Amino acid sequence: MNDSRDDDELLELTAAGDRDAFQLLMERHVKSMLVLAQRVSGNSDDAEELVQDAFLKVWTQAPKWRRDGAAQFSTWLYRVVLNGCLDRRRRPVWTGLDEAAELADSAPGAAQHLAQLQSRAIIQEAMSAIPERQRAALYLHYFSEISAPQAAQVLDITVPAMEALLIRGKRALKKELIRRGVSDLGDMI
Amino acid sequence: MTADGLDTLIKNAFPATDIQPDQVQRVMAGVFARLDQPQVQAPPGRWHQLGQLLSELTPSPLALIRQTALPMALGLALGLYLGQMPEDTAPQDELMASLYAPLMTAGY
Repeated sequence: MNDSRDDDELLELTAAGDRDAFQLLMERHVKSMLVLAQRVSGNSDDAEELVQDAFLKVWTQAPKWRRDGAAQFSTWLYRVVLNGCLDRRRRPVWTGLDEAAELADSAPGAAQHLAQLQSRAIIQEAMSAIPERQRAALYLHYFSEISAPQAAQVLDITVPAMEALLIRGKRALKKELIRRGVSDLGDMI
Repeated sequence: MTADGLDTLIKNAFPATDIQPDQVQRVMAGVFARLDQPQVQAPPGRWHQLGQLLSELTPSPLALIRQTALPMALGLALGLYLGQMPEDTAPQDELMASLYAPLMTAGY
């Protein structure tokens, strides 16, 4: 269903306790939030919980939302989900390698899937070793559907600062991957 | 490994995530279910916000007591101390006498 009301209007209604407006707001943004959360967390259960937490925060914080504020609602929501992902990744819950070990090797394409899971696990491990700010920039760059200027807004920095952060992040990630024995693409996929 | 190589590596390891409609529905249903749990409070309405603003502007009784308790206690202690002192009126009588005496002699 198309609705001409913008996010700010829906937030105002949400603040007044309008569940239909809140549902519409969720319908608009839940998919892109799930994309980010699922790719960062590595599994759909964690992603769903993270996104639910973010929307519960929207419900409780809606009365404080300022229409004239500088940030867009989607930017703020990305920030909430990203911070949730970073908090969760501080705990060792990613189970890529466990999944890989349990994967039946007789299924068609199983070997390729196994290699992919192992690659993910190594990349996630390498990402966990780089500074959090750089990791956040890389998550937004690789795992979200937003543009570079919006990613910069999510991190509350300028676009050139975002680009610099990405360069440093990529350099640090490459270093960590090399430290883990990955020297080129052929080593992994 | 080049920068492009890293991009390809990550793109291959994390292919585009396809979010299914049932996953979207599950998340939204989960949010509403958690909203109905007693610990999640509904967003306050405008009247509630106004009431909250007024209550924030009005000092709480506890704060008032904290602010006034010390001066009141000091005043009480001072009053008790002065009340216990022996009353001595003699110097005052002499003072009054000396003040009135010149007036009397001047014929007022």
